Amino acid sequence: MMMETTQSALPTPARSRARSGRLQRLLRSGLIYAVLVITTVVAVAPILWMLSSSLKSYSEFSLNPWLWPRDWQWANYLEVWKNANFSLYFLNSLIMVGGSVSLMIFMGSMAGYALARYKFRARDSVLYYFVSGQIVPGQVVLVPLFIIIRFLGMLNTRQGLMLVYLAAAMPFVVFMMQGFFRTIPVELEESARIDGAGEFRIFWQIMLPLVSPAIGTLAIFQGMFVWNDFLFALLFASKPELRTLPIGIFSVIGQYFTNYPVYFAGLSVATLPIVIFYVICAKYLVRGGLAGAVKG
Amino acid sequence: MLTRRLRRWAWAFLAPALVVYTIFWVFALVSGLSLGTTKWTGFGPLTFVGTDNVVSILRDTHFWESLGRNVIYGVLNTIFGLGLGLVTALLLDHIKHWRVFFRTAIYLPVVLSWIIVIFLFRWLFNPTFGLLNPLLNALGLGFLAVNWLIDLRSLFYLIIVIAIWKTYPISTITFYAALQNMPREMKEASYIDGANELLCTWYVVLPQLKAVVAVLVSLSLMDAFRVFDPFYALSGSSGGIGILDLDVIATMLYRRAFGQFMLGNASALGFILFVLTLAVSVLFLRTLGRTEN
Repeated sequence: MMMETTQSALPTPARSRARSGRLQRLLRSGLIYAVLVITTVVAVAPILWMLSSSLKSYSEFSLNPWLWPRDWQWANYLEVWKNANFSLYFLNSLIMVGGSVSLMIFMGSMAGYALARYKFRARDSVLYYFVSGQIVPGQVVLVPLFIIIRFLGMLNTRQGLMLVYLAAAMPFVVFMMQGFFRTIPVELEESARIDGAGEFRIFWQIMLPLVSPAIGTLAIFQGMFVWNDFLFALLFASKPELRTLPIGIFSVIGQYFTNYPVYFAGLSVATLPIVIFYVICAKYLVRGGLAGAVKG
Repeated sequence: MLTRRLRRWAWAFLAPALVVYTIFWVFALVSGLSLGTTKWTGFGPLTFVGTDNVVSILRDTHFWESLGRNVIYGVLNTIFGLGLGLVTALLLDHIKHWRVFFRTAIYLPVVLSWIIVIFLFRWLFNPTFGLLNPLLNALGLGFLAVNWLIDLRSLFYLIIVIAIWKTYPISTITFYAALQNMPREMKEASYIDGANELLCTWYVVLPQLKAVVAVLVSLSLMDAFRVFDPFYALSGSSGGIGILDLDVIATMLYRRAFGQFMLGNASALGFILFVLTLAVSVLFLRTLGRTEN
């Protein structure tokens, strides 16, 4: 507002200069938006193209691969869902995500709580012990993990794969959890303790609900890691009944390679849940991702 | 008395996480390092060979070719990833509307599984049916069109392009957050001193991003040593290529261990991978320490 009043009071040459400055600004911001729109198209177009192709008939797909489908062929999805067993892979993925993430959060929050709230001599060492595991790449422990899991008779079982996910996630989850618990004032649990609440009850009924928003972000992150994981699932649960979606795609989608729409329907079944989930949770995710990236 | 009771509770809370983590991560790491000094097929007797595994790996040209791919992948992915990330973050920081929309959309490729990404793009660059070569021809870039599944050198660079597409938004989002948290005073002061926006970005904004750059470079390089999925996925069922010619350290390790049952050799390879990532993280911590001083 103030800018405009001063501008109108200026003599003519200065005013025209101001106008050209405004035009320049407008042009520049237009250019910025244009570049961002192109960036967005580059990011999103391949996924949209995959979804659109998955709904075409074979002949329509060969005629115009670039256009949006005219009549939607849900039969492609029925084909992968029933005949290619994607219903099973989908269920397996859900079970792995649900089981591993809830256990990760349960175990990680207990450990993080102990590290944040109790005073004992080894406390800092235990925290370092957990955190230092973060720099160990999964590939380095792959061979010994295979031997250990085989020794326990848990190769090609859900429990075996879940234990691997748990161990891999512990450094990050414990570290984040103890950070969350540290932000809560001590008075709360002291008064609960005076009221005679047991230690587990204090943790479970008072402290855990207080950090649940932060836990949500962490759970989304770990859930995406498990949903997308390929390496561990390939090694520890590759038998047909236990395949998760990435393994299912890797091992069976090839038989549809000549029937492209069905091929893309298979990819879409694995993609859609995570995309929908991401769009809903994007706000939390990006924030949590920042915390992870800066601390990582 | 009370404190002893509480201490016992602390260990009880710690126990499940400690047990699982110790057995399946720490013990696995330690036993992997010692397994690297042996020769073992996974069955029968185990023979101690000392440093033979490491020596034979270091003499193997295939190892150096694979490591070379990790390095090229890492360097290109880091340079282009950070470059694109910085530019998009600066643009995002400049606009007033639709920020959340752009931020969300740009980040989308990051949350996709590598397997899906590779299977999607693999179809696009199929020389007979795919759309990449027709597209290149249409754009007048026909000289770039090759048979991507046979010309493995081109395929390798294509994977890197896809990897940049999939990972650069991590830099975007991290830079963007740093820009948002940057105090406005210094920028405003530089404007009063007569700097234009370009000068202000170069002399005031960028120097403050040094720590973020250090974090992103090290994360990106560590990621480059670990990369497995895109290279392995190409050996899958739908007309995949022979992975041997496109090995990186992780796929080489996987095939040695579970294809050729050279568990000792693979563990030694894992040890080398560990040392490499450790070196990157130490380097990163030192750089970070220096920038903060």
